[in-house]
Amino acid sequence: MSSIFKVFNLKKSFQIKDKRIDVLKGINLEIEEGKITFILGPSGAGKSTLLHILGTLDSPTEGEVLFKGTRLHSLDDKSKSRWRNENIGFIFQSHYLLNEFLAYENVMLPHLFLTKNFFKSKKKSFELLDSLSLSDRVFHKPNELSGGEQQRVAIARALINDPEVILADEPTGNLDSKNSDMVMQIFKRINRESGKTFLIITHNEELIKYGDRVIKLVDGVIENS
Amino acid sequence: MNYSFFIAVKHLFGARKTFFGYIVTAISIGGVFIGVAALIVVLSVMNGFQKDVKERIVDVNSHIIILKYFNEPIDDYKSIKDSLKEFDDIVSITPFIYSKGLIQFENWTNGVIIRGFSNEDSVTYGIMKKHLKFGKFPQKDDELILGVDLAEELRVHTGDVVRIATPFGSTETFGSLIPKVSEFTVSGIFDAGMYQYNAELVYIPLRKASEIFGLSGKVTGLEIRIKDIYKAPQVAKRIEKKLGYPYRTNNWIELNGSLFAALALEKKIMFLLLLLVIIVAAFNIITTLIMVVMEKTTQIGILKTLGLSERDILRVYIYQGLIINIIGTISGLIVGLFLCFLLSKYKFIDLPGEVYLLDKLPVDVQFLDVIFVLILTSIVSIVSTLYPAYKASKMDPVKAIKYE
Ligand SMILES: Nc1ncnc2c1ncn2[C@@H]1O[C@H](COP(=O)(O)OP(=O)(O)OP(=O)(O)O)[C@@H](O)[C@H]1O
Ligand SMILES: [Mg+2]
Repeated sequence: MSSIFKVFNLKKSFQIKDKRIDVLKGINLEIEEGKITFILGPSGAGKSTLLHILGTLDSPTEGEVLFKGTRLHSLDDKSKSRWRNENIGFIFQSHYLLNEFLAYENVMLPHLFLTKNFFKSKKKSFELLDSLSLSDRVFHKPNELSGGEQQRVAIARALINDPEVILADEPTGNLDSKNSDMVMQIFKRINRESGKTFLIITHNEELIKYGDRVIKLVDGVIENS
Repeated sequence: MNYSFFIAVKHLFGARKTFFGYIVTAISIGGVFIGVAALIVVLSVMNGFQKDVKERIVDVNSHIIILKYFNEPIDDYKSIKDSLKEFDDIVSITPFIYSKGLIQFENWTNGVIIRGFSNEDSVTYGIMKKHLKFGKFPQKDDELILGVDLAEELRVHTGDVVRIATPFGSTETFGSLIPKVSEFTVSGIFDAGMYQYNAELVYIPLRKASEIFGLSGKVTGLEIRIKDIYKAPQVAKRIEKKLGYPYRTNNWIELNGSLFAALALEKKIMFLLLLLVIIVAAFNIITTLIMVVMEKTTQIGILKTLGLSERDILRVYIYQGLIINIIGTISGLIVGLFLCFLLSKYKFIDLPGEVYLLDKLPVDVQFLDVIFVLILTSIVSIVSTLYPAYKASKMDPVKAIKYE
C-alpha cells in the first residue's frame, strides 16, 4: 500500500503580537492512497490547519510534506496553484460557492482553469451535476439552492478535474443526518469507483463507519489509538 | 474565453454586495469618460483656435513683407518685383503703404492704421472683397473701407464722409508739422473675423495714400504672398539674400511669434489641468477596485483553493481596471469627438470678440492629440490597477475560508 502524502515533523505556529502559538507540534503521518481517512479531534486541535498545509493553502513553520515524492512547500506559487487545481478537491463546512456564478459555472471553474476550454468545461460540469441529481439546478444561483444542494454543487466542483485527493473539512457540519449520509455515500461511491483518496475532518463519530482509517489529532499531535 | 477575463467581468458587474458598489463602479467609468471627453474637446478647441488665428492673420496680412532699413520709402519697387520673378513659391508681390493716422467722424475720433493698397493687386482685392460686409470696394481715390468694430465706434455707415488726419502736412507756416486732413467717403465696411483688425484697419487706395503721407509715388514696402505659408521664414531669407542691403524682410511667423508661443503654452497648461481630471479618474479606479477586493476577499480565497495563482488573480484585477478604462475611454472618445463635430458644424458658442481674438469657437481634432490622450489615460488607468490587483493577489486563502 503506497502513501500519497508523507508528513515529516510538521510544525506550525502562529505569531500573535509577541505571543507564539504552537498549533502543530511535530506531526509524522502517512496518508494511504485510495483510502478514506478521517481526522478526529477536539476543537482547536489543529485539524483544519493540518488540512490547509496538506493542500498548500498554508505553509508549515517547520517540516516537510511530500506528495508522491514531491516536496510541496518548495514549489513556487504558480506550481502550487497548478498542483491544487489538478490534484486536490477541497470541500468545506460552508459550501463556499461563488455567488456571482451560476451553479454550473461554479462547477466548471477548476476545469476552465486547467483546460481553458469554456465549452468542454461547461459540458463536463453539466454531466457532473447530472450525476449528482442536480440537472434541474444547473442555472440556479448558489443562494437559490438548499444547503444539501449547495454542498453537492461544491462536491461536483471539487471533483471536476478528477483530482487524486479530496480534502474535506467538516463537509457535513452544516447538514442534517439525512443529507450527511447522502454526502458520505457519494464519497464512498466515488472512492470505490475511481479510487480517489479522501481525507475528511469530522466531529461526527457516526460517520466513521464510512472510512478505512481514523486519525486522532489532539493538541497538535497525533494520538495513537 | 480567457478565464481571468471571465472572472473579472463577474467580479466587476455580477452580484455586488450593495447597490453602492454599482454606483462606485459607474462613477469610476464616468471619471475616465469625462476626462477623455474633456481632453479631446479642449485640445481640439485649442488646436482650432491656433489654426484659426493663424489663418486669419495670414488672410488679411501678407506672408512676407519687404522693407528698407530704417523704413525708408521704396521707390524702385518695379525692379524688385522683376528681380523676384524667378521665385516660384511667390504668388503675388504688391506694393503697400502703411502708416498711422487719426480718423474723425462728427464728434468721434480714433487712432487707426492706414493701409494703402493698389487696386491692381488682385489677391488683396479678392481677400478684402471676401470680408466685405457692407457696401463695395473703393472705386475712386477718395473712398475707403474700414473694419466693422471701428465703424461701430465712429458710428459711421457706408456713404458717410470721414476725415483722416496724417502728420505729414505742410511745414510752411511755423516750421513745425501741421497735420494734413483729407476727406474720404466710406464705400464699404469689412469684417476680417479678428477684432484687432476690425477695430484698427482702414484701407485707402495706394495712390491717395502716397499723396497724404507725402511719399510722392514711393511705397512703404512690398507684400508677398506665397504658396506654402509655413515656408515663409525660408522664402524670406532667400529673398533677403537676393535683394541684399538696404532691403530687409519680415514674415508672419516671426511677427506673431509671441502670440503663437502663448497659444502653445496655453495648450500645454490646459492639458496639464485636464490631466488632473484623468488622475482623479485614476483614484476612482483605485477606490473601486479596492472596494471590489474587499468585497470579494472570500471569493478570491476560494478561487485560490480552486487553483488560481497569484498571477491569475493579479490579471483578474488588472482586467477589471482595463474594463473600466476601456468603457470610459471609448465612450469619452465617442462623445468628445461628437461634441467636436457639433462645435465645428454649428459653431453654437459665440465669443465676445473684444476679449478673444476670434468671435467663434473653432475646432480642429488632431489625430496625434487623440492618440496621445488615449495612450495617456490607458497608462494612468493601468498604473492605478496595480496596487489593488497586487493586494488581491496576496490575499490569504486560509483567512478567506476561515471567516464567514
Ligand atoms: N491565523 C491564526 N492566527 C493565530 N492562531 C490561529 C490561526 N489559525 C488558527 N489558529 C489557532 O490554531 C488552533 C488550531 O486551529 P484549527 O482551525 O486548526 O483548529 P481545528 O482543529 O480545526 O478546530 P475546529 O474543530 O474548531 O475547527 C486554534 O487554537 C486557533 O486559534
Ligand atoms: Mg477546523
